Amino acid sequence: MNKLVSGAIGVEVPIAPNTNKVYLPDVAILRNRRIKHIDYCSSQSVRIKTPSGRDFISTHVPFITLVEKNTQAELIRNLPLNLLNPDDDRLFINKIIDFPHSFIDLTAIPENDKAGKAIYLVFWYDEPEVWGQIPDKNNRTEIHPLELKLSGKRTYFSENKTLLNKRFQNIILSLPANTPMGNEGINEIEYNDLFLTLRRGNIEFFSQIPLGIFYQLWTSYPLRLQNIVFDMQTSYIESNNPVPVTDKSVFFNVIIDDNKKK
Amino acid sequence: MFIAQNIACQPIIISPNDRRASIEKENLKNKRINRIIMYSSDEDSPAFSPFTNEMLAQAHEMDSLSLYLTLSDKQNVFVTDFDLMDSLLTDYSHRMIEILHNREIDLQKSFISYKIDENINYRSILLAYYFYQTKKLSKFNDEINGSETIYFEPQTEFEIIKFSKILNHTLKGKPIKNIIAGSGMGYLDITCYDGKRLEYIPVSFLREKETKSFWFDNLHIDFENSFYKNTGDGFNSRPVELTFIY
Repeated sequence: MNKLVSGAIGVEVPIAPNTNKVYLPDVAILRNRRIKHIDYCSSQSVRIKTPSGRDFISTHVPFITLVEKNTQAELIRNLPLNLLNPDDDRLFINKIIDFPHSFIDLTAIPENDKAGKAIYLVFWYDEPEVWGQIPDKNNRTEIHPLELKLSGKRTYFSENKTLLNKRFQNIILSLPANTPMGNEGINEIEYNDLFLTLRRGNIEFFSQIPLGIFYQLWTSYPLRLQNIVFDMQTSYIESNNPVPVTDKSVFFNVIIDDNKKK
Repeated sequence: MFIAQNIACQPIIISPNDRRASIEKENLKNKRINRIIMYSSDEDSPAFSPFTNEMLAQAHEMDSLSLYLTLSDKQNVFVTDFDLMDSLLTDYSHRMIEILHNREIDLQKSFISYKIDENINYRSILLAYYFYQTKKLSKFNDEINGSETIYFEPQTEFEIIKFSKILNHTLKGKPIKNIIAGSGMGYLDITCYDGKRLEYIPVSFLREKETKSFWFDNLHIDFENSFYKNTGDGFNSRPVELTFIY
C-alpha cells in the first residue's frame, strides 16, 4: 500500500558514453526530505521519453545504491531498479538520502543501450510543514473533475473555484473519449509525452511527473497525497514532443478532503 | 480490505435518445453506500443481464460512451463527473480504482450521465452494483475457520439453481466471509436470515483473489432463498466451482 506523501519530483539522470556508474544529481528540493517511494520510469512502465527528450535504457536493468544521509551507510545496496515499477506495490524507502553519494550501477547495460540515454526516477517525499491530517477511519472525501485543454508545449490550468484551497488526496488521470465539457480527451499514446507540475507559491510540490503515473487503473494501490493544497493557476502540463498535442483535453478526477463538514 | 455487507444490482440502460440514467433502487433509500462498481461484457467473454438475459454492452463500447457518475447527499454534490471507466469490471478485467463513498446518497439528485456516439443507434445495458450498509459491520477476522468447495453443472441456459440443492449442509449456520469462484459465468443471489441481501453478484467478481477483491460481512445464508443463476452460451455450461470460506 502506498504511503502518504506531500509531493514528487522527477529526476533525470543522463548517461555519458563509457560510463558504468552514475551519481544522482543534487536536487535542492529533495535535500533533507524523507523519501517515501521511488518510481523507476522505464520503457516498460511509463512509456515516455524524459522531459529533455532522451530515450530510456531498454535492454537491461540498472541497480541503485542509496546512501542514508545521517549514517552515510549504503542501506539500500544494488537494488534492481525494476523493483521500483510504479504499477507494483511500491517499496517503502522511508530514508533521508544523500543524493550526491548515491549512485546507479550500469555495468550490466551494453554500451549501445546507454550512450545518450537517461534514467528517469520519481522521488515521492514528505514535507511535514504542509501536510494535513487524514483520519484513519471514515475519511470523507469529495470527487471533482479537473480538465485542461492542451494548447502547446506548456499549458497552465485555469482558475478553478471548486478546487480553490481544497486539500488534495489523489489525482486520477482518466482517458474518456469525451470529457464532461464535451472536449475530445487525450488517448493512451498521447499522454506518454506529457508531464505534470503542481505548484503552491514558489514551490513545485510535483515537478515533471510523467502523466502516466496518475493513470491508476493498472496500479496495485492508489496514490495517497497528504491533503496538499495547490495553486492551480501556476500549475501546468508540459510536453516533450516537438509537435505537442493541442485542442485535446487532459481529464482528471481529483479526490479532495471533506472531513471538516463532518 | 473491503467488506461487503449488502449489494444492490441495477441495470443501466444506455439509450441514444437520452443523456442520463437515474439511480432507481428503492432499497438504497437511507442506506450508507460504500462503493459503486459497474459490470459489462468483454469482447471474448460475453456477460448477460440476470434480469432480462440480454447481453451486456462490451467494454470497448463503454470507451466511446464517456460515462460519468454524479452523487449527492442531503447537503451537497460530493461526486461530480467521476469517470466510471475507472470502476468498470468485466470477466477478464479486474482493473479498477478503489473509491469509497461511505455516505447516504440522495437518489433523486444522483445520476449517471453519458455522451453516446452519434453513430450508435442501439440501446446498451450494463449493470451498476451498489455496495451498501444497513448496520454496523461485524467484527472481522480473515483467519479461515473452515471451507467447503462445491461443483455442479447447470443443465440449461439461464437455469436457476437453489443453494439448497447444491450446498453441503455442513455450511448451515456458518458465517460465510468469502466465496471464491474457480469457474462459472453466472450470478449468485444471496439472501441472509438477518436481512442482508446480495443481489446478482457476478461470479467473475469472485474469481480472483487480489488486492482489490472483497470479503463478506459474515453471511448467514438462507439456502432456500438463495440461488445460482446460470447465464450465457455453451461456453458457460462448464461445471461451476465455488469455494465457501467461513
